[in-house]
Amino acid sequence: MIKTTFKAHPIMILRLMKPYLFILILPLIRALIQYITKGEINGLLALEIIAFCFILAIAILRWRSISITVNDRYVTVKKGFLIKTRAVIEVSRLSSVSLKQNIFDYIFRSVDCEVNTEAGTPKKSDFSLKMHINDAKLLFKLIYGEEERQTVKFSAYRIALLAATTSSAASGIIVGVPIINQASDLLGVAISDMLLSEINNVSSRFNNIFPPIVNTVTIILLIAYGVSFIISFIKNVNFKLKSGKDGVEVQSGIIVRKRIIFKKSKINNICFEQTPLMRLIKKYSMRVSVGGYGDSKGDAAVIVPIATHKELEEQFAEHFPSFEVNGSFIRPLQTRFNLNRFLYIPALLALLILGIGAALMIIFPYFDRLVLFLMVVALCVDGYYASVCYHNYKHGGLNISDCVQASGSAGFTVRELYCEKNRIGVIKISQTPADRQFKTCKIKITVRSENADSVRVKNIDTSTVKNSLREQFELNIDE
Amino acid sequence: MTFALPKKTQLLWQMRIVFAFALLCAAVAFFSRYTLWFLLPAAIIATLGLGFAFVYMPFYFKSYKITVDENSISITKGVIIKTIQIMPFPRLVFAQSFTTPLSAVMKMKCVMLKAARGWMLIPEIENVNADYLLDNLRVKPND
Repeated sequence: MIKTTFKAHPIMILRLMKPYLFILILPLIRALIQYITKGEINGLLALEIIAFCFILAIAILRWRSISITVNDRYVTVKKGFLIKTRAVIEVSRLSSVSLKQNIFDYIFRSVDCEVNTEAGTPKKSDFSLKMHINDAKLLFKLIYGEEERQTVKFSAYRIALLAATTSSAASGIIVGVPIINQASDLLGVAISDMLLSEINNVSSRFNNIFPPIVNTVTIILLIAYGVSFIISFIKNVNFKLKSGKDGVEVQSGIIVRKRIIFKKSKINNICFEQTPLMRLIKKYSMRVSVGGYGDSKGDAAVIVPIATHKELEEQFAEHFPSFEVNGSFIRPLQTRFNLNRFLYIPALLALLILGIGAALMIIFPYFDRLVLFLMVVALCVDGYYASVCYHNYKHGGLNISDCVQASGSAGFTVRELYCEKNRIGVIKISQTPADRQFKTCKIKITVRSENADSVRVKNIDTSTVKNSLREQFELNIDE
Repeated sequence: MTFALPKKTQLLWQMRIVFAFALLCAAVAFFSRYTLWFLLPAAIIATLGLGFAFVYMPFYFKSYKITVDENSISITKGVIIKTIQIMPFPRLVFAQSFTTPLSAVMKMKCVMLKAARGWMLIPEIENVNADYLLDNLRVKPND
């Protein structure tokens, strides 16, 4: 029986001290530089040095206490020197193991190793430690063994498309604003004020029917979107998919290199997804849901960054044959009347937007251009919603066999979900008065996993769905 | 197999509770230098702490029953509201033990059993029993 124990890399000390970077370490460095260059001593310097030494000592003790032991059946993780913890995980219960390497890691030959299971906090790895690169490679080999894997590379163009279609101004703001604020504090310069005045200056040069505030907000959102795009591109560029008989390995990134490996048997579900921007260029991405994978919202386990539906189907059949469905596809009735049932909500919303917009223009004539702009934005969103509804009518449906296929939407994302029958967590059937009259129903399928991915399929025949559920899940459902 | 918590667990938690309430009581009593009225909440806190540690906790720990069978582990506990928590072994993902300086001195460990979106906590038990649980729970039949 092979048994190997790995200790954490010394760079782990720096990681353990990272939370104190802005409140202690950087002010201390600044005070020391001030002392060396100007000969001035900050009144708090002695206290800061004592606190720094204390935190450093704690970090060293915590680093010394971390270890990971692997044998052919179990992974044991030990950590803590005051409160000691020991976790024992069966190898078969591991969801995924990922390695991340940034520039500092590259210099010091270390790597950030994350061990994930289904039992952790959502969007957070269960165990994370810095290891020596060679130790991490050996750990990978001990846990997942070695097998021949076919490599698929994706071009920078495709990654740029993925970044462009999945980035959002909101994530750009979330990342960018704290950086600007921290930089302003450290340099003692009001960078945000400078940026805002520059944006105001630029936006005043545009002459269009919309008021200046619209230009300013648009420029801010475009900059935020650009930031998000660059981050997403750098994170995903150099994307490689290695698929073997049992395992899947995904590599990506230049500055921060990421490598994740998991067994195909640990996949909860596979999704073909289309974000609003992807819908404009008629492309999809394929992602898998693996327990514990990812430490932030944007870290979906993307398997194929961007491709047409046909290309995705080919990749799906090649890499995940066990997920193929073989039952009959239950879809909404393809009649003009049923199409109207799918489209009446966006039509009503459009009328409502036009009505409210007209009323606001009459009540507040001074703000007519702003109201017009907001109306145009709302109508665009409603138009997109109508296109999703049309997609649900044309391509939505459900197929229940040993594997389940559900095509529909989740919010504004068009989604096609595949999973094994025994991975389904909740099946929710709902009927509005209209559904009861036309003997149709809405069905929501939620996967039993950390991500709890779900899809909603609308207006399909109730008795066919219930028969299918009775047959496959041996359920006792009333007519 | 059904077992209860050892007496030492109760003692450990009584020490922790008394220490926590003593700290809180001292913090409130500190303000009595400004007005003696602060002694009243300090006295209430001290009474509550003592009552909690020496009246409620003995009943609470006495109510603890841990049952391990072929398929699952279940914990029954509660004085006023009784709860039964059951974890089938196929749902168990991993087991984790915790040792604090005080529990280390008393040679005890706390065990946490983790499942997807849920967990079960067994308060401090003897080191030998905790290690036995950690080493044996995970080899139960899984799906």
